[in-house]
Amino acid sequence: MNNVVVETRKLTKVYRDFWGRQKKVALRALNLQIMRGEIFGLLGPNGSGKTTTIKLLLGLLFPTEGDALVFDQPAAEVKKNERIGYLPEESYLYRFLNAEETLDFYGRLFKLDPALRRKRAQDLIDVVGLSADKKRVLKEYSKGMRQRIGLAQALINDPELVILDEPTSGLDPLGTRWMKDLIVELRDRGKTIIMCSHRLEDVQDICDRVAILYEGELQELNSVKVLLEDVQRLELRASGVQLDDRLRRDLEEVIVRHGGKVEFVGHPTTSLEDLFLRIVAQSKAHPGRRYLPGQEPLRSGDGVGLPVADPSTHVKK
Amino acid sequence: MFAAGLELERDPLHWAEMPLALKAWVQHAGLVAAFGLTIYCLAYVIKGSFLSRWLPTEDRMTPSNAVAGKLSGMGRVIAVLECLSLASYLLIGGWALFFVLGREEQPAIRLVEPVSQAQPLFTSVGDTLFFLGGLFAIAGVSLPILVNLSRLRLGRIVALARLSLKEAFRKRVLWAFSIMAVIFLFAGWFVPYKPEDQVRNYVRIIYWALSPLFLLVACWLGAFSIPTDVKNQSIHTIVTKPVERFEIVLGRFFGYGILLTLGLAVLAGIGLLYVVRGVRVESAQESMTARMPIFANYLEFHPGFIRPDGTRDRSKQESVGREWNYRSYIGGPGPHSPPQWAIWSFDSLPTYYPSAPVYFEFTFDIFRLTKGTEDRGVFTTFTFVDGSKSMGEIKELREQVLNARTKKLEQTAAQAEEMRKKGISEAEIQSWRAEELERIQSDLITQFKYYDVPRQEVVDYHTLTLGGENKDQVAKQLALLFSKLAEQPRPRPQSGQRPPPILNVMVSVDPESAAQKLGVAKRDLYVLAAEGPFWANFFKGIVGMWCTIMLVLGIALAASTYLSGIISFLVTMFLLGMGFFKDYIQEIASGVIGGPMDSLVRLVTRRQTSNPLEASPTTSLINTVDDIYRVFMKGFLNIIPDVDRFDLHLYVANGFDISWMPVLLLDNLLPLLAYLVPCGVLAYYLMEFREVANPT
Repeated sequence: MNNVVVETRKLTKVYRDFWGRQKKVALRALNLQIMRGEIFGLLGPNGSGKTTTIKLLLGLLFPTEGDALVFDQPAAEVKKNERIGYLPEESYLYRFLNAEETLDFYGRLFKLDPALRRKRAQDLIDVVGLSADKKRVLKEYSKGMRQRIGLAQALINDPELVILDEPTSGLDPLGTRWMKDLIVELRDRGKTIIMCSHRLEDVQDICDRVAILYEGELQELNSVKVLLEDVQRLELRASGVQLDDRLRRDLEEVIVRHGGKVEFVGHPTTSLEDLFLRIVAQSKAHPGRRYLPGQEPLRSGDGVGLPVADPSTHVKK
Repeated sequence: MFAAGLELERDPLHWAEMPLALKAWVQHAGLVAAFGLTIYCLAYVIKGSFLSRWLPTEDRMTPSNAVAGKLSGMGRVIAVLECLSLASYLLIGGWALFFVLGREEQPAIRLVEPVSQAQPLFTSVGDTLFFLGGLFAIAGVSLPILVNLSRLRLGRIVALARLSLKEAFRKRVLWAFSIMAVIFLFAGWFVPYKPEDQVRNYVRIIYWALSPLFLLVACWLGAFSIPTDVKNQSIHTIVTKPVERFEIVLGRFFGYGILLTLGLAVLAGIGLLYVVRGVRVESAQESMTARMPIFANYLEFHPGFIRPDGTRDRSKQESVGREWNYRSYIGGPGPHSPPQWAIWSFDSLPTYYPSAPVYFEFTFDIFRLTKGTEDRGVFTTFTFVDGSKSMGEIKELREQVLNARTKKLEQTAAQAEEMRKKGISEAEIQSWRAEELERIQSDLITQFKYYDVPRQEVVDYHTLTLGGENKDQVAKQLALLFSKLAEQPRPRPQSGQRPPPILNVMVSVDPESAAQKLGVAKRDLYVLAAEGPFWANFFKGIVGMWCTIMLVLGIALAASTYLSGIISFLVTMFLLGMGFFKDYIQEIASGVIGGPMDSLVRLVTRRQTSNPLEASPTTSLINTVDDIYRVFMKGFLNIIPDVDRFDLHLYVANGFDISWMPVLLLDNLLPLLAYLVPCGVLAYYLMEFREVANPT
């Protein structure tokens, strides 16, 4: 079984005007191989060619040169789409349809059995937390809700390859966490994920490998772990001891003895996302005002575990 | 004031003309196909893989294949077809120049329009080559589509059609149709009519109101649907599903097509109720029916129009100066002018005689030279005679019949006198005399196969039945005449000539109305075969309107696969507008006087258009180049839809049946298909080659 799901060979895209004059080289000779079962991130500033790459893989654009192969088929081949799910950057769905009708419509495009189509649509509506709003037309949805139904339509065919363009765009921290969890879960179920995002922390959290593009050229390609690992520095984490001067001196002595230099000794900080999620979870468990002037702040490790995001807590009513 | 008859400037297509029509379609559509295919092949040579995404992987026109000149499978077949097509077109030019140069006779090329079944299918080598060039080009263009047709799935098309329907419903497109309520409520206030014109006027109101309303809605829906999807990027979520792009076009077409069809059916139903409410008796008699006429095969005139060169043109008589020269005018005999005849010729007779009487109906136009007698029409004589008789024979026959009739009438008068002497009552004598007159007439018909109906009063703007109050008696005599004509052996046609007609109906103006002119056209006189229900005919007329709506929808959708919404809308409306004047535009493009070369020579040499160029090899070359130009211009002008043919309201308004076979199927639905197929091909390629996510 071929493990390469997506392959690009010298993939180049040049945008031209009506008269064929070159306007911009969006992508230059990109060579990529994306493996089955990984979360692959495309990173880069605006105009670096991330979205162009995704659109070339989906056949929404045609390559100027080179090849884009998905499941060993040319990207323009329609049949490969049976195994792909795509969530665009903005969820441009038909706003006159409600959630049920939307999923039913996209399900019909896959020639799904009616019973299976209905069941899968219902399951996905539950998964994305829109059960209470499934009869409302999409034009009444918030941006986050539209992103959720957009993801549901991308998963209606239970795809092997899911392509997500800015999946956390428009989502609040709870929704972002939910989305990230879902992506990881999809990967754990054996699916291949390609995502591009501006939010580097999202990519760092969940991607197995990333490609960094700049001005249409590939600048870096490797696993996140390898890319972020700083072999010039050392990190030590410990628990069960209090940080005081004596411990600090002992640690410095050991490091100096081994020819190193201590840069920082202190308590690790959590991410703002974790803190926010904890506060929301606590507030949900114990409703009412929590903050009082002069009160000790909620710190990392203050007893409330990381909640499983419930998307229904932040939808627009 | 509207005429009561069926005023059609051209005959509907018939089965016999189908080969010619098909040939013309291949020639014209093929020319456009050849143009597109040539651009494609040039683009292939230059760009390689850009345009080859629809080919199977092994046949892809990749840059490496392009450079190496390697093609396989379908690509090779397309290349061969393109070469054959181009070769045919080049041969036309070569043939024309080689064979015609230096000859005086013209022309090198003449395309044959489907006007007469008597014409041969191919008139010249150029004609045949033009057909072959088109055929090869169409085959080249169609091949990838035919191969990919197997990929289309009905389920997906239905899903997209349902989406279009829901979109139209929820975006409240149907509200546009409520404009019709204004027409239904208030139109009657502003439309004055004579009693007999009531139905005619109401039908016109309904058709004239429904038609623009639906055409605008169809154009709007078709032009803006796909561009809006592209603009909103909703199309990204569709083309990234296993959906063939052409399925999007088909889904949109069928979805909107169903919506418009339903809307049209409902509004037409309401329109029918509007028409039939409170109809006056005069109007109901005039046009609230569906006459099934049998028209003559052709109309000729005797003595005919005198051309400037002194010869006679039998296809027309006099012009009274009306702008629309649809009718020719005959006058009565005068001291210095011979009698004029309008002669309708029937190649076959209705098959239902003699079991049923034969009713003739007519609607003529009167052009008055004098005021005449108040409230009186123009008096005419209708003569029915064997179609193989010459004018001289007819005059002789007429004399014989007159003599025989006079003799028999004298005998009858004498017998009546004897009966009076015998004391038989006057009532019995009159009854006997009436029977005797009928018998005499039957005897004369049997003996001479000649029948005339004198002193028929013609009134303007009315459909009249031959015989007036005695129409049943006339119809009976005509049935007898028909049976006698059918019994006699037909003379064989001379080689190269059409067979003589079986019946001629000759109409002349009586001496007492000699100062008036009678305007006649081919469809002004007909045998009334049967009558159908008005409501069914009303809906048949709506089918014609439906064809126009579908045509507009198809053109708008095809345009919108490449152009923006507003531009597609304008292009479609422009083509539709041109379609209403297509005949006029084609007349200009055909160049009645001369083509661009001819004009150039005249400009340079300062020669007038009325002065023909002298016969010489140069003139021959000029004419040949102009002919080729005309042929190609005519081909390209065929992208203008012929919307006039779909306007059937004249049939309904004047109470003529719209037949399913020649009119609806052959003259409406098939031409609609002939336009929609090229639109579909265009939409297919534009959608396939379109980068839906390209911002440029």
